[in-house]
Amino acid sequence: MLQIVKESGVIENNPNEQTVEFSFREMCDDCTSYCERAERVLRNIVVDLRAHPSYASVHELLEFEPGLKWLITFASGGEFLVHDEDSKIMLSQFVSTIHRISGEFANHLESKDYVGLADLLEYELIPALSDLSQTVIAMRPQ
Amino acid sequence: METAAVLRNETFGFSKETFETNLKLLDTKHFCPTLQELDLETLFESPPGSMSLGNESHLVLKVSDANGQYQLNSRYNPEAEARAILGESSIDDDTNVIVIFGFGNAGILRSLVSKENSEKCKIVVIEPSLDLFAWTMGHEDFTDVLSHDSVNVVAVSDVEIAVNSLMPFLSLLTLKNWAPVIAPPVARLLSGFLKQFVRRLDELVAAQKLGFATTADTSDLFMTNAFLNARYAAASPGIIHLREAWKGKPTVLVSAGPSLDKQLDLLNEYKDRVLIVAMGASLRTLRNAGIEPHIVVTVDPFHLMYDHFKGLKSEGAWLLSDMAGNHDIVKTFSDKMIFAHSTPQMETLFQHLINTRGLMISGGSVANSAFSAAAIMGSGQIMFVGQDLAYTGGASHAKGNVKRLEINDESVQKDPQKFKKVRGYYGEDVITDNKMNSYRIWFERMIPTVKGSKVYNCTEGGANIEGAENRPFKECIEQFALAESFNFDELMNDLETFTPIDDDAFRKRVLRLRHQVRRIKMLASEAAKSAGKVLKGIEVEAEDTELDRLKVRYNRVMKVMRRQKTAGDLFVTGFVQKGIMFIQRRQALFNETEKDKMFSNYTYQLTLKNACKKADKILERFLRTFNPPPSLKKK
Repeated sequence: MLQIVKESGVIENNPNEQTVEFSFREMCDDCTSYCERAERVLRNIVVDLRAHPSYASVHELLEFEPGLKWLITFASGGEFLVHDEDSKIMLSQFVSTIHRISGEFANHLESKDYVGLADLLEYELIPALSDLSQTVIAMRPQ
Repeated sequence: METAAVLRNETFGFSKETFETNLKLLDTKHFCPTLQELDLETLFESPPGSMSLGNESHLVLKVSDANGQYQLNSRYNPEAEARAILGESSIDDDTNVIVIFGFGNAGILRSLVSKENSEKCKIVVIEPSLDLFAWTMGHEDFTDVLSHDSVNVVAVSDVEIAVNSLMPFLSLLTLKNWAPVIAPPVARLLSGFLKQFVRRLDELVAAQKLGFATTADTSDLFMTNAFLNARYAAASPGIIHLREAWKGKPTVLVSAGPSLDKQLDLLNEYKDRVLIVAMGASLRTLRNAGIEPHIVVTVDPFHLMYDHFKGLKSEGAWLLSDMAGNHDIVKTFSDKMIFAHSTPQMETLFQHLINTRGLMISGGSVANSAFSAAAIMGSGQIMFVGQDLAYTGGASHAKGNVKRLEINDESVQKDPQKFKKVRGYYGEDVITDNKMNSYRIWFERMIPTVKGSKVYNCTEGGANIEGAENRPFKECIEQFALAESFNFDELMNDLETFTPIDDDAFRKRVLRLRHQVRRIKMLASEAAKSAGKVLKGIEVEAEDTELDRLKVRYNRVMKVMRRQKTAGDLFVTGFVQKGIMFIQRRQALFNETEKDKMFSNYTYQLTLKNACKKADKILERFLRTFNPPPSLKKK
């Protein structure tokens, strides 16, 4: 995200902070909106995985990959744009949670352990998305 | 709780003590016949699954297969997980039997027993993974669920035993609705077992419905026929008198399947050297081929059965009839008769009239009964011909049979509930229907129990019958046919244990039966009146003392009634079977108030009274027109 801001020349060529804050604000809105949508969809996937796992649920889950990558990028870059320590820690925690569970995620998928996968989504990923959303709401420029 | 959780963590692992505690309950309350015999040391060396504790100190089971390791239940919230799985099941307000596949960590079971009114539901847990189950039993004390009145655990790996253990819970007399619960990882673990289980359950449920419908609708026809035939049975031997009479010798059971046609020439060649027992439906085909069987079997009471015999008279054949067999056939086909009962109750009842005639265990088809008869006679080799039990070549019966039906792919597609594919004689798929399939299953269950006879399926077509050796008819008959021809009439005339009942004795017994029936009618009338008064008393909210007085009077009549254990009681029961079934089901499923119970009792006594009237009429008509048949008069 920082790269994007730099490339636009906003920081170096335009001391107008309002433009920088506006882009960051939009990104914060995108992030929270995505987190909320993702939570809803993931909860439905969890119900499916527990009660009647299907190829469709797994396929839908795999479609989250680009979105999660974007969130990691946002959370990683956001550390440089926020000033309070708590928010920095929360963003950093989100990134490390995703890295940590991605290995387990792959193992569960490979062994078709849908209960394990559902546990991971319901008790690790969804809470992480919720925390991220709260953090971003708090750090969003007004 | 924290302390308990900490303790649990510290002591977690397999405990022989815990295992013994669970096993004790399983032994006394549940069905786990081989669990005791499991070698625990083997389990320790090679555990069937890994156990750990989840977030709520609950058991988490992990197992493996070719795709890898997977959890059988969640590490987190077991209640929420159980709710999610139960939410997907078909359990509704009418469900009174729930079948859970896989015991797991008992999460689903605990969720069910904790619900309100859980005692109204029977919960059956089918657990075929005995190693995993035993391993689980050593890791947690399941007293709370194993001692619950509604819970029944069936831990067996054999599909047949598992299905047979479940069937009593699905009795049509007590079942409102049932629902299976299978968690997805359990479906993966038990996939092979489940496939066979479902197929077998489907077969047994269909057979049960068939049996139930037959009993409910036809019991008074059975009783009427049996009584009318009793006149002939009095003068004729029963199957019991032929016990071991054909010991070690060959019998051919001739059924009317489409494969019969190709065996006729061979059968004709050897007809005097094997005992030919023909089902009524095959008689016409045999006659056209110049074969007179030694015995023709009929069991069904229905008028439809007479079509096979219409216009035909015995040319030497003996008629083996169920006591309740169609009376027109018994009256007209042959002077030479043998009788048998299909139920112990009928045997007991008619013993009072004609002494013992013996049991011919029924499986629904004439061939099933004929097989029973051949086994009782001690036949050394029982050969099936024409026993297709399938639509061989798209037909149900041999050519010339009045009941021959032809089917094609279109008819199968139109009625997928009725038709199914089973393994054929040569290993191929063949099409059969639910009825024929239930007859085949009966054979497969009975054949292993018949120790003195070797069974050969010489049909050379149709469905495969497990337990019967498939062999070409030519091979069998050449090997087993007697060296010389025999005379079956001589054998029948030499029966030492049989003595016919004379007509005077028979008439006296009928008179006594009528007297018993009239007594029951009087008691039923009194009981109905008393029950009606109690019912009215409840409705108008009569004083307690008055209500008690009415109840005492009713109970007094019932006490006298319960002491009536006579032939009359049994005779009348046949006429009231449908009513009994209706009331039994009502009492099992719907009785909640005293008024409901008394209403059921009132209805039952009225039904019984009407049944007595019917029974009395038959007996009265018989006595008025009593004219013993020629066979009885001669003796």
